[in-house]
Amino acid sequence: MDPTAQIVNVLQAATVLLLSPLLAGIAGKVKGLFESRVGPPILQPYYDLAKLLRKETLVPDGSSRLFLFAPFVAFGAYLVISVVVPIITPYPLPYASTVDFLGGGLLFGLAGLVTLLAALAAGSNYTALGASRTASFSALGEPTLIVVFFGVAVITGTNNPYVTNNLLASSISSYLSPTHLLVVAAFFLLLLAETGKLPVESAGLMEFGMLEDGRTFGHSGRLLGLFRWNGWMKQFLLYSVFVNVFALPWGMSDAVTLMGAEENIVLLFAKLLLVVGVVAGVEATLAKVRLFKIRDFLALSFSLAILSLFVFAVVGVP
Amino acid sequence: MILDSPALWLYLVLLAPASGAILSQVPYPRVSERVARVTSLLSLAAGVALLVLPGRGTFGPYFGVDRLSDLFLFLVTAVYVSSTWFSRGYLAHVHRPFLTPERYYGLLGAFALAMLFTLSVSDLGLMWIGVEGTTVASALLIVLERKPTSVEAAWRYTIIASAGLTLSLFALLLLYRETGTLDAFTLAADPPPLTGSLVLVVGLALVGYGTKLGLFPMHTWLPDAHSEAPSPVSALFSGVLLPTALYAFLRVYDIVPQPVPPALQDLVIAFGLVTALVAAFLLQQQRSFKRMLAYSSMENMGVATVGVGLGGLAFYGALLLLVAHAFAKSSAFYSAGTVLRRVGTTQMNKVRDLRNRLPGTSGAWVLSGLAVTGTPPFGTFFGELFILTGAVAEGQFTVVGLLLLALVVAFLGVNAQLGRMIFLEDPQGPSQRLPEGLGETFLPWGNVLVALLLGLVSLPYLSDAIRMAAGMVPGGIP
Amino acid sequence: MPPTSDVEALVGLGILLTALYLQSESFVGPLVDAIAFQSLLVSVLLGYLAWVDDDPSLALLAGLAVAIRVLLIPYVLRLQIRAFRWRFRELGASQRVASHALAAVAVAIVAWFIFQQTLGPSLPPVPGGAFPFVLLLQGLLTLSTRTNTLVQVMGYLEEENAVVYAGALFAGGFPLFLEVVIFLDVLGVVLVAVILSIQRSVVGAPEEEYLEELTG
Repeated sequence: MDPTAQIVNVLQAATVLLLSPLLAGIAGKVKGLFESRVGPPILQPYYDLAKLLRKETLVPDGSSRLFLFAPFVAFGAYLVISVVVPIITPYPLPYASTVDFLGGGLLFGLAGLVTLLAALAAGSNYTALGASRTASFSALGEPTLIVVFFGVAVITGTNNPYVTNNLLASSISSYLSPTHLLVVAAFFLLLLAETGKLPVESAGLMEFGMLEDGRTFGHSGRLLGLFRWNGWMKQFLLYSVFVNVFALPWGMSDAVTLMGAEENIVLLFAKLLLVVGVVAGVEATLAKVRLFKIRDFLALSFSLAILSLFVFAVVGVP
Repeated sequence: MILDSPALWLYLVLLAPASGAILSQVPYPRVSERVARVTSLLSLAAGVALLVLPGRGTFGPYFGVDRLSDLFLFLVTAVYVSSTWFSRGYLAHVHRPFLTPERYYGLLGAFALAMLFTLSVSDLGLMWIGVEGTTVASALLIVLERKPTSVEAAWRYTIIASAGLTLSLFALLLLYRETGTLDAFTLAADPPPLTGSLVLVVGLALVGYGTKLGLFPMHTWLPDAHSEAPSPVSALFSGVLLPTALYAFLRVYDIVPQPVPPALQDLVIAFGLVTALVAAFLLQQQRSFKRMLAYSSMENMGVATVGVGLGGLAFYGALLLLVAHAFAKSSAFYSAGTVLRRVGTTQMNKVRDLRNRLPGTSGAWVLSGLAVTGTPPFGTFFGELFILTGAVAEGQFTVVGLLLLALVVAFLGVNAQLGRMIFLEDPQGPSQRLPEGLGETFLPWGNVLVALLLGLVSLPYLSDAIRMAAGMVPGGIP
Repeated sequence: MPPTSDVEALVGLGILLTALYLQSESFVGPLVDAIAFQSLLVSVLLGYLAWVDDDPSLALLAGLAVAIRVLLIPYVLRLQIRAFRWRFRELGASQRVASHALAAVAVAIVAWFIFQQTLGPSLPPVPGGAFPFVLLLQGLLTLSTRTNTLVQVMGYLEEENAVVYAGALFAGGFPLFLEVVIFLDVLGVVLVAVILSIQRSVVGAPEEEYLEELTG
């Protein structure tokens, strides 16, 4: 096996690990600027992480082992995903064939599931509330995710995200085909829902309004730190997938060298900042919708996804 | 001789209601009424002339008549005349009408014009425009009495009929694409090959024109519109508008090359049958007599559609049924209008002892009730008889059975109710005779007697015309 | 110049999305804009085809479509909304957005299926050939599932757009003269509909007992 590729592989995982808090910090800052405040410092997530890892961990009476293990399992799942999807390379890395795109989706599901169960294990009312809400909305969001994968698959004929990336980067007519445009739209809406942005959720201290935040209410100390980190990694990964496989696949350097990889990291970060800006704009202009409206939101995203397949059947992809 | 040329009479039959509509806009109600009456008579004259004259064919790129259209043209003009003449009495008793008499007669003329236009063109697209035009012209007539229910009914009618007709338009577009022409006569003479798209065209046309025709399940506007409209307008609706819509569908159906695939035939028959059955059963639950009569129209149209689907002798029966029904149903609606005007309500359980209160009208009403439900010796009976015979001849025994069921149920429903209203005594004591205008009673009697005469087949020209009309359509008897 | 099939595909996509929006939105003002936009898309397609095929009658048709369907009719409808405040939104529709949207998708799939079975083989493989038929059924769906009067009018307009769209795609359509008269007919229907809805507000929406009369 090519040693450079191996190193790039590790570099990719490290990028996800280390840069995701930075992205979250920048996102928080940008959102604050949109709202005419100063916003938290860019490195705030790192400070939070450092603080949490030092703090005492409290475990509720009557909770199970799952309470302790869940953060680690989710962390592991996200690490696996980070070497599977195209983040800093347009060519498949040695470990990329661990799972395909569908498998990646399943890993996301695993992480979510385990967090959910941990929330239930915590035995608190708030966590149970958060867990049940997240579960019901995921139930609506999952079909959309699957159909989005199908949409991607029909464009290229394969489930391999790297092939999709190459095809979309090279062929402008594929990129502009109605199927692809609809898939991008559907995935963007799903992105907003999965990463907990308005209009679906607003991160804050309103306990009764919490969706995903509520799940981790019962954890503290190191476990909470790991959960926070998981959240940031999830956001980073979803944004990267959105950027590299769907929306902005251009410009990645093919060179199988460290220099090439580093160029790609910079490019990726630039694209991610663009997405952060767009999402912040969306958050600034929309208000949080009422709980039952989230169902409509997800139904709309599902409709768009199904229509992408429908349009493919009617029109085909040039 | 110029009077022999059908072109002249054709233009007259269109010109008369058109000029009537325009000229009756003078702001003098009496004058406007007279103008409307005279022009309607002129159009009737033209209609009769067209029926009687032997010449046929196409005039110019768009107009054309054959025996079938002549028959329908005559029908429309006849009922138009009787409705126009009946309107004076009716208008007198509406207080605060939405339309002034001038506008009313104008719209009535426009309504008749639209129907006559549909029947005199040879181009299917123009035919569609004519049918759509009838919707536009007649919708406003429904709201004459400015009641909330009338407006609701007119609203439903407009939107449902227009939406359905758009389906037919789509069908015509596909047809044009397939064949490159929309001339009904050339297409019927030289049918295009039977493809999936032709089947879709006919199917869409059935659903589309069926909406205007009152076929189930697109019939929802029918009871509302027919019952809320003023009686002379209801007569036009039930008597001639529905057959005109059937005519438009017929022209499309003719295009299918013989022999018509059984699936398509069954589709048409099925629609007709279900319509007749549904109407017959829903008829039982009505509380307003106008609504009941509306359902009876729907039932008759269902039976006629079955005849169209079966073809041959049954088709001849359908035509006979339509003609006789037009006269009979218009008569029924005129009587209903008189009852409404004199007694003051349309609720059947509140009307009793009509034979003493309105003897002339109730006599005509009883007869028209029998006529619309197909009692011998009225023309409708023979029409239905021929349809049933045709069905038996083709071995469609389920159709025969179900059709008989519908006919019997409708017969019982309509006549029982009418009988109750006319013959039963008023529990509140004997009632006094109400005034009846001469014109009011004459018209219903006149029309119902025509229906009777048709049955007696003693109008040789008319029955010959029907025979020949049936011969023009493939599958008809020569 | 982009190839015709690309333009047709994008127009079809826009029309489909507008139909989806039309089905799920409950405020009537934006819906009027949506139907105007949809008519505009159809006109754009007509204009583009007129340019490609060098056909002046198509260009005339496109112009007429813009004048009547994009400008005049939405203007009339807007006046309606302004005149009758209670018309500006459909009550209860916001509860049913999800089911309306999914119904729209289901109808689209069914329509495409019917189209494939009956028409597909005999028509040339125009990309997006099924769209007019899909739009037709979407219009019917809007008309039958919505209760607000103006929204029903827009369902009807959607159907008419489908017919013009079909005419544009399956090159040739109707002879121009017919199309013009059809346009005017549509205008006539909308006017009658508007008059009736004015009457409806003057007389009042029918009360319970009157509605009883209309049952059965």
